[in-house]
Amino acid sequence: MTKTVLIVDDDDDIREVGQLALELGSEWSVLTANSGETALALAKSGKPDAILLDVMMPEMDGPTTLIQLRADPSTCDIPVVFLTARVRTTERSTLAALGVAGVLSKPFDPLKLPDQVAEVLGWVVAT
Amino acid sequence: MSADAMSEKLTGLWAKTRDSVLARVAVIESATDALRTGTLDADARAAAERAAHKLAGVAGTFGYWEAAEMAREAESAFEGTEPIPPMCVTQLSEIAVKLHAQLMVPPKSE
Repeated sequence: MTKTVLIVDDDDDIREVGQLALELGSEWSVLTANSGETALALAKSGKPDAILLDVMMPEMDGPTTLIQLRADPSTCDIPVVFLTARVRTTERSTLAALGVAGVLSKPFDPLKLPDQVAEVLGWVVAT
Repeated sequence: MSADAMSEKLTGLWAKTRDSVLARVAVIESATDALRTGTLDADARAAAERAAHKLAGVAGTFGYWEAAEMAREAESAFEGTEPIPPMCVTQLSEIAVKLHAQLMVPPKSE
């Protein structure tokens, strides 16, 4: 069965490249959201198999969105992978400690993104 | 999907998004000019930090890895509220010029 991934990022360019990379580099379906609030609604209605969640977003940031996802019984079990341009080890450790499946770096290589996502989620990429 | 096919798609996407990326460089340039003249306020500084952060995230994704690294340096310079050392003005000016020059060139295929 085809996996569905929700990409959440306030940056239009990142969303578009991420969607392109995952749709062309795997057989996954991709949903996108430009804010934490939209992500919460899409997570409930779209039931994605995983969420790639930007950390730094205006209004509702990634960690806050994660807390809201975990507080809702209908979205609490969806694996979340943080996408972050923060490179400091301490910050990455702090993010990882929030109970996510993994933390991936921005910028990412579009050709490698499907494999990186699959690896942290334990999925197989069918190309 | 082959690397060539992905590269072609990315080049097309870059053509569409280049202007918004260059607009972020302009924010950094503007803040650097304000820093040089002593007129950089907190809002413009925060905007420059955000623009540099976003630029660092997107530039490397299109293959502009050196530009991404320079954007990170700019982000670091504008981060926080401590006074920015005068020596950073020259560095930031050079970064802005190099960013603009590099991002005007079409992305390279891997």
